Amino acid sequence: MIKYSSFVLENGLRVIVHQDKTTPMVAVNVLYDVGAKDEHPGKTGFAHLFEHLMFGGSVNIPSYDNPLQKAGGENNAFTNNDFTNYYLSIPLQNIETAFWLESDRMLDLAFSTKSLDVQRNVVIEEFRQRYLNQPYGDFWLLMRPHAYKKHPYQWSTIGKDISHIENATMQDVKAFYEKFYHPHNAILSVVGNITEKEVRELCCKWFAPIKKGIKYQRTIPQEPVQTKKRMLHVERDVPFDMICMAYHMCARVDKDFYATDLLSDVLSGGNSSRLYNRLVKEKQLFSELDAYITGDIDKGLFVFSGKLMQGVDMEQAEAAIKTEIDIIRQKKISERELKKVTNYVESSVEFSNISILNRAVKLAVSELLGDIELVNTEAQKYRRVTSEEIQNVANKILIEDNCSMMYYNAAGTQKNKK
Amino acid sequence: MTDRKQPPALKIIDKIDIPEPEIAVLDNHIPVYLFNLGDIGITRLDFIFGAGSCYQPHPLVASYTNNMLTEGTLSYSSFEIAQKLDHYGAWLHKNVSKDSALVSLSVLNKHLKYVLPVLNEIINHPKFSDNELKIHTQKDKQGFIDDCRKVNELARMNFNQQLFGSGHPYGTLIKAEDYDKLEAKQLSTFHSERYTVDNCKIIVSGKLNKDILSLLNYFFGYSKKGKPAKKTKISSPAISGEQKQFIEMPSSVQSAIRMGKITVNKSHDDYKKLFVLNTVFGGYFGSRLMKNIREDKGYTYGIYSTILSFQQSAAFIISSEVGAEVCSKAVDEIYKELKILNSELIGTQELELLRKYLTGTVIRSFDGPFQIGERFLSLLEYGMDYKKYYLELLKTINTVTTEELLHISKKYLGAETMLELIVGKAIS
Repeated sequence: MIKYSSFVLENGLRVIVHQDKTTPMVAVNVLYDVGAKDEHPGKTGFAHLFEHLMFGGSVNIPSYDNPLQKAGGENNAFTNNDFTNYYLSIPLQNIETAFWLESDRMLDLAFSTKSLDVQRNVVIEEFRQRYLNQPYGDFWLLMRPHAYKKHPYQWSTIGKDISHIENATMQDVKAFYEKFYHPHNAILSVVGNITEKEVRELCCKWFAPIKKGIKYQRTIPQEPVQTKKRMLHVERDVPFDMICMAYHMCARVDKDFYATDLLSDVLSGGNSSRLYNRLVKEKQLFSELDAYITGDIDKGLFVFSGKLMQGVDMEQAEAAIKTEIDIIRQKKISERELKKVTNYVESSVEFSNISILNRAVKLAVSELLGDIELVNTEAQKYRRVTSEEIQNVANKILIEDNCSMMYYNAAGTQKNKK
Repeated sequence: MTDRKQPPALKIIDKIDIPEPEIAVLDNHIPVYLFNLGDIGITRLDFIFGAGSCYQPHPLVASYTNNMLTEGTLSYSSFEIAQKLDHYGAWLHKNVSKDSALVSLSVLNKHLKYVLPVLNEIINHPKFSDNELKIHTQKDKQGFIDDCRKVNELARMNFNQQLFGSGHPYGTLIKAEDYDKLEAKQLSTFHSERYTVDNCKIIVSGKLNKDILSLLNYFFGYSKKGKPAKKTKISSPAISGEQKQFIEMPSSVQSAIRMGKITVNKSHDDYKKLFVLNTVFGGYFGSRLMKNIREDKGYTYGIYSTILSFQQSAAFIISSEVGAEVCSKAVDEIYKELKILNSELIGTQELELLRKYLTGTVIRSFDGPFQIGERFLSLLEYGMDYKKYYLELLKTINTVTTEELLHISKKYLGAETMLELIVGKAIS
């Protein structure tokens, strides 16, 4: 049970405090409600570029990292399609340094030309390292636009095209900051041996003076219902074939979310899962095979992706996955299997709560989803899922017309096939 | 009005709580170290065996002995084991390093007693079969072949051999054929020789149930001592290979860089100072390498240096992936930074910042029972007193002088003594 309290500053900043008396550190998390989905289609990759620029100095503080390191702190950040998240941990005694640093970069950035020039290059190298210079590295760059035709989930956080980053101007960057980086669009969570009163005082001093900003009204084109199976063939210089099937699923706060997540666990969670035992171990069709959900806030994807064993062909691999889909659609899972996956989820929740940083991130994300109490109620929500609900979800989403399939062929192997 | 240009006053942090474990011994003399801490109802059990890859007669034997422990035992099939662990939401983590093998179980306290019988089977009664082994080696071999297309993985594997030499147990380079040659019999032999009572230690951490010791004794204290494990001391000296190596990957848009040399390990008197020096150079985000090659030049997404400490040796390694066209410039910059480190005193401000940062890092690394258990584990293999080690480390961090660091730099990190490996596209 995570006990917390929350309040809102006049400028709209939402603040959550969870006191944990057992730790000498404090975790401070600042979530900005802006992700890759909020980018203009002609200027993608900005939310993530911004994550880099946020370390390039703010209006009153030339370096973010130096003072934090001097205070014994450590930090990092991540960007996804829904939001951008900055987190740090610092010895309790120096907590004020965290408030000073985080409030100043919410107030205004330094916007140095040098920082923009360098971080553009760093992001380009990140793009090459993660997406171009790895076998199968462009997998999501291909799958996103294949599965999404309207919704901005069609591009990755790194951007639709790296030229968008190469061409980013100071003016673009400033406009992006103006639009999204203000208290009204942010959530602050603090976890450590600190009281609500102490956090309020620090907030009054450091965050309250920041001007409110104009609340960003999100208007995102929703993805129309897919009505026909889509097929994409690509050939790349990789050692082995890979297959991917993506099915549209519900949004994060939909009532079906928990059943959908458990469906993926029945198929692919742990070494006792169906796909691993039957298709990887028994039939030896795949060297790796996963079924998972993307867990996005808007309607996400239920994904199967597998690398084929040498000598297995795509049609055979596809048919084997479809057989498993048919089984789970036709036959309810047993109570024993249901119990197993809910126990598994319960443990995962407990294990992930060990870290104060994880708790800080979870509190902020739950607030973003509209209900902080989710940090305590999610395990219960998973436990209430029935095997009928899992079967119903399977029958609702794992259907042919809802599938975007990709054959990712190893160069040279395709010629042997039709 | 708050003056935002003025940083808040900093407090000196020097207090750190390093708890000592409670030490117990099972009936068969396996030592158990218990950290009964925190208020989270989870128990973690770490079983450590002196069964690392340096003891293996053939490549992959150590890692597959460890990995296949869960793939069938006297009483259970691999599926039954997986099912039982998943049913109780237990997380089993297995790992093999150069020196030791680890089997680690994390489980909610309420499920512990149901999982221990399975853990006993896994550790004491594995049944290695050629059939199960082949399923795993064939799929893993494909993963290995994929890895061989990654510049960074190739660099990691080959630099290891370049550092220690192909004849040294730390320098083994795995080949795809090795996966085909492995036999279950080799694993059974390795298991019976090295997963023995006298070669085992147990660390327990978490908010522990009262009956934890009697449970451990019931499940793990019965097996007989048996033959003692061979205490192999590596006799062959490490003989580093070529000073400079290049492996071509023509289609690569980035090149992987490795530079480094053999150095002293944790048990050496100079190690703690070298640790501080390494942090200045490339051990954190504010390091000189990161500031120059990423934050000033933009050549890379990241560059680090690290000291890998093993029981009988250690390696200092610089690693990065950089744009293929700027690779030689990046290498030049690394040498430039090494030469500065070898010839100039570290500035007071830089060193003061580092002292504070590293102190925070050490405190952070003791946050919670499982982290504390990990710290303890990291020194157990060296037979060193962990509390003494960390208190001395903190002292070194806060008192080492800039002159001492310059001396350490000249002694251990001479620019001209570094080995170098590039994997990537040849640029004329």
